Amino acid sequence: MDRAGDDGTTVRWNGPTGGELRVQADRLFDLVPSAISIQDRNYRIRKVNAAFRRMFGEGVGEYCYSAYKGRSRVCLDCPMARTFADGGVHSSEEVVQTAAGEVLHVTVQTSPILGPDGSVVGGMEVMTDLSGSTAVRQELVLLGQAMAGMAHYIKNLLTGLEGGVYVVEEALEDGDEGLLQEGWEMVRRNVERVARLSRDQLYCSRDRMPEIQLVEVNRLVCQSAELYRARAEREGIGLHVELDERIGAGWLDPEGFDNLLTNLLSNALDACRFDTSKERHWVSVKTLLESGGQLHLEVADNGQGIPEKLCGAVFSEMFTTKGGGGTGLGLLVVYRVVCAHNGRITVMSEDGVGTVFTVILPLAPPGERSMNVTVE
Amino acid sequence: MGATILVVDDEQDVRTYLRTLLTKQGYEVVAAADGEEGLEVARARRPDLVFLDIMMPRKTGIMLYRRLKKDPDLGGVPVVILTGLSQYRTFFAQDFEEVPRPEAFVEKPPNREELLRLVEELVSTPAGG
Repeated sequence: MDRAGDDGTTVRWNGPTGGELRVQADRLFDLVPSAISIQDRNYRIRKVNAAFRRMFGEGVGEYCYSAYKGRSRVCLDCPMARTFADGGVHSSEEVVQTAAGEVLHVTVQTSPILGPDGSVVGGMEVMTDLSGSTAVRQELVLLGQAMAGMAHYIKNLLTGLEGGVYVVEEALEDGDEGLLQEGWEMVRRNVERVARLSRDQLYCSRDRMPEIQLVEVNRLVCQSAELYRARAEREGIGLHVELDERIGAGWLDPEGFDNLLTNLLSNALDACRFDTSKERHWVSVKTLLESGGQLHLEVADNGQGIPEKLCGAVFSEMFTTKGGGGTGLGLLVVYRVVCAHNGRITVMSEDGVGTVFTVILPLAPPGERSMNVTVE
Repeated sequence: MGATILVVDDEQDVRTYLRTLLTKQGYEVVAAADGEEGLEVARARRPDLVFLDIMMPRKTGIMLYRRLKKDPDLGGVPVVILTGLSQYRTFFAQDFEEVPRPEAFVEKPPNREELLRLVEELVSTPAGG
């Protein structure tokens, strides 16, 4: 049962075990985790809550467009302007800059404050950080692209499997031992591809928690890279591995890290395989110890590159090229591993020139980490 | 004699599959693993039909298609494009503005009955063959 406090400034509820929960009414304003500002009709900030102060500084007396965005004029399409015009509640998505210089993607809701005569005398602006949902949106984009790439892999897989079954049946009918062997190989090879796809999908569906352990970082990198040496040689692509000796042991999830590196390497080799503009191709893997103690891992190639408009959309073109047995989930797996380590990944690429993936991973024990995940 | 069909695909399984399927039907099948090899075989054997995987490394599939369609001897040979991309028909226009369109597109995995009907339609056997 809700009860207003006897003195009008305290709000009291019965607690679940019979005791009382009391909050000073104006404390509620400061408890809200979204940044709130109260503005007058001139967009001047009159009152702010604690969350606002944390994000934007004091703010009272400033114009809202200055405090939130460093502007000197009311923003075009300002939801508060619409609230002032029609007395209704409005919302928008905005990009703002905090006092610390951080750029945030936020959702803004504005509602009117009415005077005694019912006219709009001011407004309340509530701003909520969307970065949690931005990450979700990014994942959805990657997942969509992964699905498109998977379709290609699955079609080849099905062709091989259906083909194998057909060949086996014909061979049995004809009593052709040689043909039977061929057909069976087809079936076996493609069953393996099914297994690979399932493993990638399981990894992506988060069945697995990262197991961060103390590992010899360079050795891990070496092991994964060497697995690709044979393939690189077969395809006439140079594989260069450069390890920073200063990196010793670090805290990583070895299975996740291996997945990350093998996917980046596989993609790099594919990019070379599909590039027609150069005679000689190479893939390089480099480790560097960053000044903050993090691992700087670079996988670069001089393959076909990613067209500029797609770099922003993150990794999409790679999914639609065939070859290398890529399941299409590769870069989604890479992204997930980076997230699981609280790391960072950037991609630089030029169509026809090549691509560089840079991954920064903390090497400190979990619990001592403080990096946020970003994809650029 | 049965007609000769050329299968060009970098996937070994596709070559084996189509070779087995078409041989059973009485066709003679020759295969190649990339566009360059495909061109050599096409010039040597003069096939009556070509199955071509358009997505092969280093664009050799696209190269082969252009060469075939522009070749005075081979330009009349029907070409069926094998593709894993369902949207390929739309992409196709960009790659092939200056050459005739292929006789057909077949999406992987192929439907066997449909594929064989298509082959029958496209392969013109000489009178009495």
